[in-house]
Amino acid sequence: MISDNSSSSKDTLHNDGYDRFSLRWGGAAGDGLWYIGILLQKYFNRLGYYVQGFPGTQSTIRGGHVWQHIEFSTQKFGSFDSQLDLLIAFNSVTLDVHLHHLKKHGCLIYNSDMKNNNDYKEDIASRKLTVIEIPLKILAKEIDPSTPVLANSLAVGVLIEFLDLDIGEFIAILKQKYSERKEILTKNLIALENGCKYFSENYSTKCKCCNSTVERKDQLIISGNHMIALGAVASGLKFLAQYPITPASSILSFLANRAEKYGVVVRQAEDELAALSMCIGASFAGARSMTASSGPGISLMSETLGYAAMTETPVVIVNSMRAGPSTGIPTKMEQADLMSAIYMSHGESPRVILAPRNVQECFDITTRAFNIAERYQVPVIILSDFALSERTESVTPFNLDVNIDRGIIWEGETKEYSKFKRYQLSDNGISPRAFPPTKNAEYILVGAEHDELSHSLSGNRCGLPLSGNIRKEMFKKRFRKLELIREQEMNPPEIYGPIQADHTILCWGSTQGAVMEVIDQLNSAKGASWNMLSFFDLFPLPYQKIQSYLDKIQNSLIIEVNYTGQLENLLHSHLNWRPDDRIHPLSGENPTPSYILTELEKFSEYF
Amino acid sequence: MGTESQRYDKKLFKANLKPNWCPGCGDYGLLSASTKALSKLKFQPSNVVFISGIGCSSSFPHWTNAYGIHMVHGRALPTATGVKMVNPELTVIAVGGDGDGYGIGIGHFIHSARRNLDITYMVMNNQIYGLTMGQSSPSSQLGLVTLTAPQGVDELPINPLALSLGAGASFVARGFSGDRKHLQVIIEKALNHNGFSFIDVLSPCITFNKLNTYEWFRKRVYKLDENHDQTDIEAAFAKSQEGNGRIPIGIFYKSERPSLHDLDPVTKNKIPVKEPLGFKAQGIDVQEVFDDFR
Ligand SMILES: Cc1ncc(C[n+]2csc(CCOP(=O)(O)OP(=O)(O)O)c2C)c(N)n1
Ligand code: SF4
Ligand SMILES: [Mg+2]
Repeated sequence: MISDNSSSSKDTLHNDGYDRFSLRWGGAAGDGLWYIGILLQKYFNRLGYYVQGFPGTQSTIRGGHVWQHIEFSTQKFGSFDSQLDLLIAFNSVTLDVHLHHLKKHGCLIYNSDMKNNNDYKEDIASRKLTVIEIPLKILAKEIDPSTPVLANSLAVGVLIEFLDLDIGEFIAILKQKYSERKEILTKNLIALENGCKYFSENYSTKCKCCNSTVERKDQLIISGNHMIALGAVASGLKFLAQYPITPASSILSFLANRAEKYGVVVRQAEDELAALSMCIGASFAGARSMTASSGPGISLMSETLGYAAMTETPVVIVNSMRAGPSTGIPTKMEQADLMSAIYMSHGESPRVILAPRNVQECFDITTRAFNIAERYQVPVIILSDFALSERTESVTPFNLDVNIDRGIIWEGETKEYSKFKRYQLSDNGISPRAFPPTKNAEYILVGAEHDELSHSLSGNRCGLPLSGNIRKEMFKKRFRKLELIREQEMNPPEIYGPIQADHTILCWGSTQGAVMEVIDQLNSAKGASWNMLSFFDLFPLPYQKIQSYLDKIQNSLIIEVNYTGQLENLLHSHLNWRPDDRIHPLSGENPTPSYILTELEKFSEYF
Repeated sequence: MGTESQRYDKKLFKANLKPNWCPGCGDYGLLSASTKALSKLKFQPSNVVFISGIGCSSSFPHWTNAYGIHMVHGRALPTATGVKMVNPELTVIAVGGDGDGYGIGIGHFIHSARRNLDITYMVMNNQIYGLTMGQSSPSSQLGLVTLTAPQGVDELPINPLALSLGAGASFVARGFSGDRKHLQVIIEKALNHNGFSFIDVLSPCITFNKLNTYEWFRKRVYKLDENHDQTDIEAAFAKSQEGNGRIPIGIFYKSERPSLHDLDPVTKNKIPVKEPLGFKAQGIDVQEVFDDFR
């Protein structure tokens, strides 16, 4: 017993029912929590709720604690929060780490046969928590002593009974999942049923959720990384090379699993230097290619990124940012690679940086990335982060058939291009590409400065006056493309909330959802007038388009998950503009709506 | 042999540009032998891709008439992997120096060998850093005085043949650029081999390596003959251990096993660059794609 007020009363919690419910599910690594977490999300999704999920690993807090946050609602929402309605604790570490996130009157379901290190009685009593104790391990053993993970299905049974929801949909999910493994299915079904039974025999408290309002049975539960993978295949990805790293690895494993089906050559490279080099080779030979990594691996790619820019070789590089520098906090998010993405590699070279803000946008931005890469023959970096890569959301099925623009490809003599010149100087800086085995287009891709025919200017031509001129022309050519991209491809930030507001919050990338919720909450409070400018096209920054947005701002605050204010500095360098205030969350946790609200309260002038 | 009298355009694979190597540089030998081998075997320039890293030797692709990638230092092999794995119909030849391949890029050498990537990899081994003007290389002989080892090299040199054998290369050979005819025969065999064909080419740097000169090699090299069993890996290892006194050249080892693109789930059936782009064009059912997420 961890509390004295273990619930047995016959009441229903929260009488009008929850229209948004957040729960967290925590235990030890290896207990299959992540997996069952995904099934649960699919379950709520099938019932017609909008769902978000987020996995957590806190390997620094005693051996491998993992958790899964699941939040569902009758309405779409921007971001999951850190405040919990329900905590399901498989072990006592879960209590240590998450109990304080439970709201007052919240509920705790806990595995009563776990060892307890601390005394939570006071905490539980003072916050009037409802406690449900289930001997999960013992119950699991009764079904099959050799399969302790059955505790998961048992807990799901308890949960569904407690929430008074339809068990049938979960049975259907299990049947679909284990259609070819009858024995496992049977055991899980028994566990599910036993969970329900145990709960109803021992407890009568119910926790009612409002009925789901929208028919959402077709919705998908999908993560940012998987969306990037789908976006890439939809865009015609033919080659992926990657070296494993959190939080980019799931792109590699997802596509490795579907390589044959989706027609993508998927190779696990020996390191990131190799991964990007392989992509350069594949792109040279005519394939759309991509690599993905995070900070440490991205740093290793720096030389080859410059090569891609110099040789005008299209390639898409996903940087799923994690907390740096160095090893940093590998399983936590940060938005601190914007500057390094802009300046990565020696010399001066063009590249494009796009930062998706939510799971759906991971798809859209990836398809844009491939077209921009090939249209302008530049490397494109997708700046995602841990909080987006591994976050799952309900997404409405969408069109997978996207526009594919491969740019200028030379396949033989035309009026405009009689002879193939790989780096033909042109008004907009773009020249034709040709792939082997196209005849009469044989050329040598070279990272040294080169002339229109891709002949190297180093070696015997270096230092000759003619070389100097070509060098200048080629430099201008590469940067003409960057200006064209700025003008034609890059979008200004998106406004959320009233066009004119007293207070504006600026943000970029994955924090969009949390800030949106903050804006809604502030605007629903009397008299407040807030809006948000969320940036997603970051480099080349379309500063002329941004100016008019900044002109309308009264008071402003920027939220960036970094120390130095990287977007702020970028805006300042282009537009000589700075926000009035700033929030830099640095704990490693992604900023949730309640975190941001608490931080905002410190700026008394706003309230 | 009939092939000797067969006529072919010996210059087909030669670029119009003149190499900027020092006159007498060993690298000329490989350039000549390989362009001739390609012509002789009736390859087409548009179907061949030469890929190199950085170094005197790595400027090689510029002196050929074919497609090419002059990559960054040390990364020729992964780049070649990308080319070959999206279009296995291309003939991919990686070339470079000992610094490029046995120094900065050595990791890729081992991995490409074990993958049995179907390319030919030829290292112009001059046992010195030529382009950067005379520093020690990972294959520099013990005691060689260099810019960076004024007291003489004190690190054991790499044994590229033993290394590649151990790493799983399916074709391992050594040639000498002072014997172009013999070298050409090795290259022809390498080009016809399915899998990772590695040739260590002794290519004297006449400017910076005053020890391992043509003369030095001529005194030591000898050709492996029919007494050497190319299919016997133990014999190959034994030959790879022969030291400075006698240096065997020829094919050390050759074995048949599927190459990477024979095994890869996509390339075993398809040429990726010839396939349509996107889900719909590839005939993939959208509902099936989405069902993974329901
Ligand atoms: C990353 C990087 N480090 C260092 C260099 C400088 N560098 C150019 S060539 C070379 C060594 C080349 O030696 P090798 O591959 O043996 O070629 P060689 O000139 O002897 O033919 C070095 C160190 C470089 N270009 N890039
Ligand atoms: S420096 Fe040496 S390796 Fe370089 S071109 Fe001259 S002889 Fe050849
Ligand atoms: Mg060398």
